[in-house]
Amino acid sequence: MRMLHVRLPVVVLMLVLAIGTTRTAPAAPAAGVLRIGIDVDAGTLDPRLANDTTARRVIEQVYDGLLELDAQLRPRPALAESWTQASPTSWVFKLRRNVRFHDGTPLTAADVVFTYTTILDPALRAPLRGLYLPITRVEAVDNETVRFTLSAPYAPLLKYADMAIVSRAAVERLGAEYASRPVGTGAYKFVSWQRNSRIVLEANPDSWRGRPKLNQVIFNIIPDNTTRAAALESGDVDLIHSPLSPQDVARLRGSPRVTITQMTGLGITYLNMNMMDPIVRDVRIRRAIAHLIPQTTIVRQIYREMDRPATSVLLPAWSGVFTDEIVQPGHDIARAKALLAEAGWTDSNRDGVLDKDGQRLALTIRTHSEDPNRIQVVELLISILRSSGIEARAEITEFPALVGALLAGNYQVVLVGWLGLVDPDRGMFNQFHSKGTQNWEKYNNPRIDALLDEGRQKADPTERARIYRDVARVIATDLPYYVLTYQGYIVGVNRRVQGFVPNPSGSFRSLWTTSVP
Amino acid sequence: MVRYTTRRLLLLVPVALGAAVITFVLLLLLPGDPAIALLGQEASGPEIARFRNLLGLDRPVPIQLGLYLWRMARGDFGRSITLDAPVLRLILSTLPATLELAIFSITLAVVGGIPLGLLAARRRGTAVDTTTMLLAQLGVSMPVFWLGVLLILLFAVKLNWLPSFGRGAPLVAALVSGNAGLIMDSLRHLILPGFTLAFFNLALLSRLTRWALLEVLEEDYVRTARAKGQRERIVLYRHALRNALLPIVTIVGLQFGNALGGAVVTETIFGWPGMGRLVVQAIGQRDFPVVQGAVLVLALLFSLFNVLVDLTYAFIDPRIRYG
Repeated sequence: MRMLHVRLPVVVLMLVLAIGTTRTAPAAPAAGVLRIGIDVDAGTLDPRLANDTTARRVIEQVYDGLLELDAQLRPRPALAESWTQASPTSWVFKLRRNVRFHDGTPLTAADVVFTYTTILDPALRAPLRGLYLPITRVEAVDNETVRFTLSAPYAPLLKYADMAIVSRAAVERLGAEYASRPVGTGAYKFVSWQRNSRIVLEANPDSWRGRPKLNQVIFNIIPDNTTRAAALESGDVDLIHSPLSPQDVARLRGSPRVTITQMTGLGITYLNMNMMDPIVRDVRIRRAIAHLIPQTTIVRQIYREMDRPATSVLLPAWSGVFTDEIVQPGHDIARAKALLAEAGWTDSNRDGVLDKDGQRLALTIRTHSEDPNRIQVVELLISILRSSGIEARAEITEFPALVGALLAGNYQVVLVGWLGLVDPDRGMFNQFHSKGTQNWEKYNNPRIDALLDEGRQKADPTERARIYRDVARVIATDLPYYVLTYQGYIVGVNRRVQGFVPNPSGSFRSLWTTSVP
Repeated sequence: MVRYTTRRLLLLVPVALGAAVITFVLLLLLPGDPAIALLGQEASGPEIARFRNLLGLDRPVPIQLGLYLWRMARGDFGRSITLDAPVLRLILSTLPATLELAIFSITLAVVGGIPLGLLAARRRGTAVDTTTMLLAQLGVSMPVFWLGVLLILLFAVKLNWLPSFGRGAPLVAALVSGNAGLIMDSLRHLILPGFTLAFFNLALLSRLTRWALLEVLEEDYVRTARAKGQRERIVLYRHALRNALLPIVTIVGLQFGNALGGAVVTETIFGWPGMGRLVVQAIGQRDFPVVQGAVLVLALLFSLFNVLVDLTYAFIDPRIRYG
């Protein structure tokens, strides 16, 4: 029993303090090493199967696509040094010579063919397969030339041709292991991956881009937003980015060793309104809901201005297409009440809830539990709708359950978001076309179908802008979507990091020119 | 003793079976399935149907259950749906971190909590007692996430003494290597999450020790010992504490189980690469094979630890004998 002597805690405390106060080397940052703090672990490092943001951030270091998108979302050469449109349904890409994978094998047209053919093969279960469906054939013309044949003209193809090219030989050699031992052509080589902890990359001195300035890039997985911000503040990591909590960003702005960059990203947060629901299918109800939403208050109070109030489904990042002249119904409670009355909803029995033909005006707004800001927005909307005589209710579930409800059409109104909308087609075709795969709300408008089909086929930017503006104008009136915010994109960087250029898509492409002295 | 231990160990089989069946049924009841979780919003109805077919999720439930139990019986934990890796490898790569944190925090709780309770019991009614019990009250009522964030902001950001996140070198490996730098690195990373996880248990143990000791100190044999003129220290340690230890050991055993499964919040705040986070993430993403495998391993560990606790009773109290 002597071990339990009372003096023991004192000894332990002293030991703890001794360890705590001896500031040893580990936390001291090394030159040439960039430590990134990121929110989730990657699911897979096989680019064809990747469906999370961390995987994409790592993949764009380890791999290259035929081309890549710059900060203005314009395609620029990567593995393909040039490309031509041979006919409206045929594209030819000319590959860069003397590019090698990290295992030393040369990149050839066969690798490009293999990458795209396997993505299109349903057996692979590639999550982004839908984007490439208009491709009917991919063939190697010679070792350095690849031809894509399309079923119909497909203008957004170049925006999606940044898909990372895998090594056919490595995939065949490693099988399923390829997902955790990636082999690419990128500026950084894969070194190690400790699940839920860190992914380590090192410079690829033989990169076709030239030798990167960093020796090592470490992705540290830190799921908690506040801890991630604290790690940047304390100097334990050098770079963090969205998602971040508004309160933490406010604190980071005051930190002497951190630079914060804020821009409008490529995501929207929106209300999806089910056109098959007996109540919500009435456009006057949808407009009344829109009029009841205090958009600027939500952006100011809940998002602390990290996000911007949206005007329509057009994203500010789509330069040449975006215009703030197309607007959705604004905050106007009197107009909302008038619309509800016009639709026949009155409080006939004076119980405080609107009714029609004996039915109460009941509305359930759903969102997912992973995003605290969205939960707050839904709670606010519920209280506002209730004060306007609507029997409103919130339903918060985990994301897979929410998507399940969307797919089944089992909802009235859902608050959710889209990310990575690199092209108007990406933000509208599948969402509003009657044959669109994500048209969960079952919006059906032949004019919109025709416009969206036309948008895919027109390569001329002016014409595309006209088409998508027309679509946005109709959507802002019909309101299958009410777009609440344009999601902000925020990057926090330690001041000693040089040459990092934030990209609204969240891309870390500029890491190959970034340095840490 | 050997017979008892064998019997208890054999009982782990029905425990495993029960845990496996319950996990399977609970996962079936959750809305949303792995196909949707993996393919996400980009997926279309037919693709999800095809994927469900590939995963065997469209088969009748009894067949799914039978196949799953058969796989488990052969030690085949399957492959993670979202992490694209064998489940067993995922468990084996995260379990050591969880065990390390759990053992470290329980050790902190025991070496901190029991002496504090002892101190409070000895100085009953004094300022020391009141202060200790106030601290203990704080410990049992303070939310873990709040304490964790507070400690990070103080020790990592303001004082810059300790790292804000992550795990250093594995402690066992560091100790074996004898490399002082590695041991230091390991301990520096362990302190904040270890203390965060320990604080509640430490507080609980100190309250429990104080209560158990005060009960025992009222007993006749303690009065007899004192009457014999034994020194207070002998009375306290040899007679009273030894008898007070039984409920304490029980609670420590249970707390170890909680520390294994309940370290999720701590692991998340400190970016600790443990199994708790793996399980919670897997539940959120409906990664059934990972949840099933991990819950089974946790249930077995928990049961195994309970067997150990029961066996320690015999050592603490000579009156307890297992036949």
